[in-house]
Amino acid sequence: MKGFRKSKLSVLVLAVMLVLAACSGNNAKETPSNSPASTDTSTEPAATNEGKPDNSKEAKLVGYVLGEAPKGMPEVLKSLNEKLKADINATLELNYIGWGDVASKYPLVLASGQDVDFVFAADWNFYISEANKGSFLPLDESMLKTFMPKYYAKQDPAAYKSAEVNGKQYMIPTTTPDRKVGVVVLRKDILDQVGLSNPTKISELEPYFAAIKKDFPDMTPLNLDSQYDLPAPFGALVQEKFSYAGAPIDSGDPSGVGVYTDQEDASGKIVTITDEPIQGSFKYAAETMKKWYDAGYVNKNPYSNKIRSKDNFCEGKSGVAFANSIDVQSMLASCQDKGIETYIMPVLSPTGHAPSNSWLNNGVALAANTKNADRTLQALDLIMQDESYVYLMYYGIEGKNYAITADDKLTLPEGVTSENNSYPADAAGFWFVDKDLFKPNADWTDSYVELNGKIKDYLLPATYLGFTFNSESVKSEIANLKNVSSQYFLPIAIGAVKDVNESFDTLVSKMNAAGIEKVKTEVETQASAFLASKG
Amino acid sequence: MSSLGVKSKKDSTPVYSTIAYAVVTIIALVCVLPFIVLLAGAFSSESSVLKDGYWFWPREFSLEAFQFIFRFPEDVLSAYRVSILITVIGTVVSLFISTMAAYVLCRKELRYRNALSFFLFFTTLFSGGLAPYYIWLSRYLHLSNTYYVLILGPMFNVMYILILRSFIKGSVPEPLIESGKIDGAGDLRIFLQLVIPLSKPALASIGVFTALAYWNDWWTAMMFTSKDQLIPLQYLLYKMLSAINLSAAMSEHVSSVNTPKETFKLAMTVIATGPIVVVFPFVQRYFVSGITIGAVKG
Amino acid sequence: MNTDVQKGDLTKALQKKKTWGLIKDISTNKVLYLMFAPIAIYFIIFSYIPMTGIVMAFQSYTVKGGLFSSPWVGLDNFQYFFNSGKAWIVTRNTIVYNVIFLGCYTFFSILAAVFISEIQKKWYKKLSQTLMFLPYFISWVTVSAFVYNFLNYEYGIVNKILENFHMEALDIYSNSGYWYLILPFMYVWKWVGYGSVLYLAAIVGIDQEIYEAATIDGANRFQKITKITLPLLKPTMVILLLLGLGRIMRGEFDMFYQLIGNNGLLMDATDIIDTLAFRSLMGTADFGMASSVGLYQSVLTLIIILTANWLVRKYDRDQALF
Repeated sequence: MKGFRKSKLSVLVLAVMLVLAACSGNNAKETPSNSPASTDTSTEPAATNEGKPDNSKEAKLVGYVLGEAPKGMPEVLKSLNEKLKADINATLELNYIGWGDVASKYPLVLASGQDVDFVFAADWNFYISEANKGSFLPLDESMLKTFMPKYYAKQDPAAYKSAEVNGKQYMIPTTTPDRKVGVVVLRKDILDQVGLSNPTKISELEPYFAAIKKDFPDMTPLNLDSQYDLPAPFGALVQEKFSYAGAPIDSGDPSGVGVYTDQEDASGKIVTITDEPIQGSFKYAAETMKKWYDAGYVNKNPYSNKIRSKDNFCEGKSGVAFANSIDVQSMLASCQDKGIETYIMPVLSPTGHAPSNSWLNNGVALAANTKNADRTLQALDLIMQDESYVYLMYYGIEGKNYAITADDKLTLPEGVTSENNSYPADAAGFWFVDKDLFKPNADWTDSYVELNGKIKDYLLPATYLGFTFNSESVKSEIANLKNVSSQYFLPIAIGAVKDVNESFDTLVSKMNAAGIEKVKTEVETQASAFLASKG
Repeated sequence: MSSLGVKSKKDSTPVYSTIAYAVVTIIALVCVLPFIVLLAGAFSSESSVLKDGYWFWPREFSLEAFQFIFRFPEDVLSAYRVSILITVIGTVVSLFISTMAAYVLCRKELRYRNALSFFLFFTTLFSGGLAPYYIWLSRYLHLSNTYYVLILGPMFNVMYILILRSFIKGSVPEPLIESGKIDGAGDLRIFLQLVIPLSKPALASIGVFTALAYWNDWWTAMMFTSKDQLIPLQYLLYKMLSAINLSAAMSEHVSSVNTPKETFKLAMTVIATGPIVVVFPFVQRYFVSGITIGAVKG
Repeated sequence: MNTDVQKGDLTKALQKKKTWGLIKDISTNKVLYLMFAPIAIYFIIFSYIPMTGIVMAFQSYTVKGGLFSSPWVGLDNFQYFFNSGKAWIVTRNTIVYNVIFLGCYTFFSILAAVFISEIQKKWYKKLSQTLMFLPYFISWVTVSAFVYNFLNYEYGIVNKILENFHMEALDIYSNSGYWYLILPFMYVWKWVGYGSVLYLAAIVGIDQEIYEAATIDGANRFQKITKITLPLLKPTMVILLLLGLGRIMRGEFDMFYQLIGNNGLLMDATDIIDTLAFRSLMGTADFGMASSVGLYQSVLTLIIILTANWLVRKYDRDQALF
């Protein structure tokens, strides 16, 4: 019975965490620096031969990725193994860690010393903490050069730097980090009604909200859910004042508080909530949210609402939907089906930019006790960078799971629908492959294609792109800050406070008690080391 | 034997009857109304639930949630088979061994019976956490991907053993056991022929709880199995749910449009409730009619 | 047989020759110990051996070091909890809520069981009992969606009704006062069917001859309830209460987490140990920190349960847990 309880808890941890992580990917999350403090306990890398790899002995590789195996996996795997056998004399066994189980099972699979050669790795999925524990095999440039030539040729060396934890690289980051920005989706009909033609900032939307409040009794202007939406309007308001990452730099949690930096500040100053520009812009956002909350534009109980605005926007329950440029796609399609015209507003900094995503959002790592390091690397090189492998792993079997149209776009074969496709794109968990090899999809809506085209111009490498904070030495403080943020920051973020200044002071004093100064010092140390090494 | 229980009919007084009926009816109504709403929701279309919330009947009848669950019917059937198998085997074995232990724990001639109870109870207080348990079972006992782990993992619950102990203490009179001993019966025979028949109501209730624990256990399967043919029903549903909830966030493609989320949760509950509706009535006869010790004694 | 002798000498014997006593006890009661063996072996394998993992609460776990040679960090893993400034509040909340839950749950379970047993029509008995069991199957996630639908400020059913009567809408999710009622109500609602099954089994297990004898003596039904049923339910009640106390530091995490979530306004009133630990450790995979609070809960529970058991023993030895 007790085991039961625990498990439920961890499952929840994960569910919440993943939603946060998966959706907040657009907040540049960055990477480690060489913190000299803690000593590394990882095992030595498996012997690497110089020159041509020796593949004479057959190798059976075991990999773990996240999600559920698609129905058509056995067939794809069979075809993959034929190819791998021919190319590098290896076969692959693939295991899945379900979405609901990652928080409990992922660390255990690594800790138990089971037969594992590679695992999916990402900064939002325990990469830093597992690297600290010594769960991964350290990699070096010569290994990548020898065994992953295609990958090595394509990858930006800065990516290796960003994957370092305590001075060692443990992850093979994707060569194509996600390109996405946060977006706010609005209803065209109501915008026209209030005469807003091209809003670019969330603060301009007040008449839009007022019109919804007045004329659409079933719709709440900002119908926020407890996980993703809750800090979203606040973050968008702050973003109007300076280039805000959407989350503190120490935890990367959009609902959290901690220390911050202006993404476009080249000097990379680390600031706390009482410094400028944070204090001013936070208070501006808090005052605006309070005004909206008091006016009834925000649902009163977002903490208990589990339905994302993105899911009930098309049902006419929310006037605004918060999403990112990738996951908004399915929602746009379903609004189109219902005949609702939409307007997409990207969330950008005052200079019209958004920070680009870290390499570490998707990657793969080798388990510390793998016995087949070199063969695994070779297999990964093919899976990540070789076009025929990439299509096989990502889209399945041609003619069965995908087809290519006359104008060179991806589509589903005759008679296959998205419901009965046994190997849906994206679903197999190979998000770290080279996405530059993909062709556009035939079913993208026009507005989506337009948005997608613009994203490249929005993205700007932030000062700390490639920096991820290693919180090992301040983990108690980080834990306490998490706790403070839900009790004292979230009410401010939705505007449910009596007096903004007073609540702000309480928040600051609680953060001080939780040890924010210690965190700041640690972040500063790691950040300046990062900047120094970047040159 | 079962007809003896309702003897008290003769002396029924209308006032008590009315109060009893009223109280039971109110409690039952409070419990069943949300379930009716849930049932209605499970048979509604996703968009009507998102738009209008829950109601007592489906505002827009739809089977989409059930269709989604039964998309790959062979998976669901296999999961049913696994669940039924582990539930039946597990419950029978667990109940027998638990009752046997419970009987031992109330034998007064055992000097250390309290120490033994504490030995069991202590495990409910302290645990080494998930990591050692997982590593021990998977790496050293090699129980991953076996039926054994699905049956052994949730097999015993100390609470139930101690409850059984107190039931046996209460419903099997000491002199009866003594007289059995004088007649030359061994402990095992007393247990099989005297204790088990007299503990039927307790066995029925603990049996229901044990069976439910097996039926609802998705956790063991989640931790220790990765083979399709070992997936019990609840884990299958759980996997589907987490897949719809979270894959949408990772997906760059339209493939995940229009999967029912809210109604799926409700439909899942409806399916999970299956066993109570099917099995409970069979067990209930042990709750509704009393036991007369004389019947066994004679 | 010779129970009297044993009672008096038990403690002394325990202190004196423990091992010898146990061996002797086993050799005189071979069959009984053999009957207990399967359970003992199971719990040694599935509970006691993995229990050694408790040491992780004092370690900074590394894969290379494993359980036995990872670096020791003393009480570092406990820091986040005791420095949160809320350790006392959440401990108090956990105990208070669980005591209330346990009391309400016991009361309503007995009430339901006694009245079900009073009902004459068999089909009604069966039906009502089955219906009471249904909430057990509705997970807290689903319950929370219902509760939100029912109580939320904008379009919750309660506020819609109040609106019809021209009364002011209630902002239930911002006032902790309501939750002192709602939480116990939900708890009882979910578990009353489950609990009443046990009490009903106890009532049914009472020898019918006792009731028949009482009828002959002219007792009415109310007298039979108060004089026979309730006193005979006492052992079941005591054991279930003691077992309930064994879970007093844990509480219904899912309920609190799903119904209250991260609602800062309700937090001081509704935060329990498990929710605090959960919020703090979200997103970390630190085995040590995760097990430290569990150990704190275990130790407190051990103290509470030993005290309670000692009190029960003093009063009636037979009804104690051990």
